[in-house]
Amino acid sequence: MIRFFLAFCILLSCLGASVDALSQTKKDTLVVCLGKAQPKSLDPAVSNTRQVLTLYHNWGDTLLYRDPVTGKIVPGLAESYKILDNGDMELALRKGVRFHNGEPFNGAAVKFSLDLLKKSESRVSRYLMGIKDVVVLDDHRVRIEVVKPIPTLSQLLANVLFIYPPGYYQKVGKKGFGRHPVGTGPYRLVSNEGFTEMNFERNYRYFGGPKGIAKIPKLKIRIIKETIPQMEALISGEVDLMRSGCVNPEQAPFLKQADQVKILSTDILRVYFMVMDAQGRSGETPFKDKKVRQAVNHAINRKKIIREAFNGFAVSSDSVVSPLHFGYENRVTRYPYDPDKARKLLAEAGYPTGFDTDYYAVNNESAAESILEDLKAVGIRAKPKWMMGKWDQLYQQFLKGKIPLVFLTWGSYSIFDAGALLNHFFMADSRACYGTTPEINCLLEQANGSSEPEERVKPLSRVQKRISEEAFWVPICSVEVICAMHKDLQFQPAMDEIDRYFLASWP
Amino acid sequence: MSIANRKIVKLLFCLILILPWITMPRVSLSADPKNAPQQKITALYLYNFLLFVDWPEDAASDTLKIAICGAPQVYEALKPMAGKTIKGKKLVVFSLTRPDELDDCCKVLFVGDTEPQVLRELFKEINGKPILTVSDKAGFVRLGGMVFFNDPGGLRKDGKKQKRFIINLSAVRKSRLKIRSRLLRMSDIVYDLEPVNLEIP
Repeated sequence: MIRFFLAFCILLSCLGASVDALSQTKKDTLVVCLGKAQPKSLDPAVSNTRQVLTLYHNWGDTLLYRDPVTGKIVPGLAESYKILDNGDMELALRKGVRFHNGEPFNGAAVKFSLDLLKKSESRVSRYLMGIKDVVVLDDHRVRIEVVKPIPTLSQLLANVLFIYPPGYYQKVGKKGFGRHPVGTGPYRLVSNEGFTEMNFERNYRYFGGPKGIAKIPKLKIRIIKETIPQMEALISGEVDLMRSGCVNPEQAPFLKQADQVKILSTDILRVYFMVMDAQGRSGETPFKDKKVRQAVNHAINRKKIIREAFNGFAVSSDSVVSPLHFGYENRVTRYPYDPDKARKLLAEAGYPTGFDTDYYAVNNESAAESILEDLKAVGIRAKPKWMMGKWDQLYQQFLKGKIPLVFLTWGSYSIFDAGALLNHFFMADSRACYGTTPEINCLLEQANGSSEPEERVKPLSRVQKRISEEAFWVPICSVEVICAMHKDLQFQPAMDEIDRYFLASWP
Repeated sequence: MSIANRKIVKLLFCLILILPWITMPRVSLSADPKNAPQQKITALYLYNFLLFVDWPEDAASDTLKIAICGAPQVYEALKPMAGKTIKGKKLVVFSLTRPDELDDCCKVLFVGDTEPQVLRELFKEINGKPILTVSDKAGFVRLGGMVFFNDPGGLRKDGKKQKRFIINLSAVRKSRLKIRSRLLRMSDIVYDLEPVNLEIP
């Protein structure tokens, strides 16, 4: 009898050990599906996708940091900072911080980084154009000099001024850095399998700071090119977490009832909109005519798009910016859904039988298809140019002025200020501008020239009103970000749409 | 050592062996996501067919009905979705036992373990109606069905990796259905298959 009991105990022990090994694997690693698009570079100055930006904040650091709970900007790589009367900022840098390759972080690295990011080929150069220079006062003190006071300077330092290791960057070059970046962040890259699978490990020498040391030792990043296989990977347990924003809202009802999965959502800055080429940059387009642009605004059934394509995880917006942006103005010209009025306006503009145009879209295929149907219903024969998941390629063409009509999204680099979007798309000298007026330009200059919130609200509000009057865009909605994960994982999506994988933990 | 002492030692040894089992955090094997049943995955794909297939306007109804025949586990996996709204319509999940239960509201039919006789009657009942027919049983497309779930790890005859489904596009078009590109690009597409005689199982 006792032999049987002994055998039973041994069996139980073996089984216990194997289950323990299973749970240990789970506890040691976090597997994240980053999205569909295979990045071509992990350098955020080369690729400005949200995937690359999100990863940066896990392997890299910035001088300042946005606390994901309070939303406040706090010191990051800087120990402390103060804004001087002329708008410059002086920062004391943390001592003893090293990049993953052992290179020291210091004032020279800050200067090198700004110089690199301000170069014209950098995707963030426009955001940093108000910063004149970095003066290295000593190894651990720098002064950021500005052309004129920048109201969003601290946010820029938290979200856009990425910090590079000068020695390593010069050694491996732009391409080499893009393949295997080195930063100071809580995770360090161990291997990059052709940008489809990237393995990170906890940076054991991490200085801590507001981010703290990574709770899960290993981070595996995967790219899965189609939505449904992404969901399959989550349900089958191959993936623990879908990057915030990677979950298509249409999948949410199914995921909500899946046993092993939980979904969380939060409001973010991201807006969806259509841009029409009002300047004729892409050639002679009907969109140069204001009546045509107004017609397109009346043609789109935004409520249907929000209900069906976004599954309710969005709110309709009449302004081009999000309600979360400082300076948001909703008292703008409204264009209710009215296909008859759209047809009438098209006829008045000289297009009684509509017209042909190319129409680009880069994500949310269902919304893009819904827009296509709405356009067709009023006689606009839009030829779909779907570039789903190929943000970098589409954006490159967009900047070159080759696109007559596009359905786009923008997350404002997580800068909670209307200027972050308006300057980028409506300043006459911006490559992303497809329509503006001298008045809008002037008002933006005015808003950019002051750090006083009260002085900025009025011009920012007026800019949004003028954009609506001119019907340069079709604002579609502001969205919530959806995050889907294994039910046991402790993780919160952040309002700045930057996932902090180093904060995730297993129970 | 006396017999009594030996027994005590053996019992203590057993207790030592069993201790890790008692004290360690439990992870139930059946609860592990890696063991997520295949039917959940099948249910996921059926849900996505409802999203990314368009039915002709004359087939519009107040509800979207999905019928499951011969696959009780798939039915159970989909049941929690019943009553949810898809494309502005309520989803009805229905376990079909007789071919004549197929009605105009039915948009998708999933066929599991079914007798050839029943399958023949089902196809006869559908006969060009806008109902997407789906199965995970080999030969389904050859028999006139529209969508067959492939083994995701398998290889095609030409040595390339199999795509997730085989879609019989001729049968789909005959029923006036439109499958959107995001499903088509995950599929191996076949056209104009001559259906085999259903008399031969």
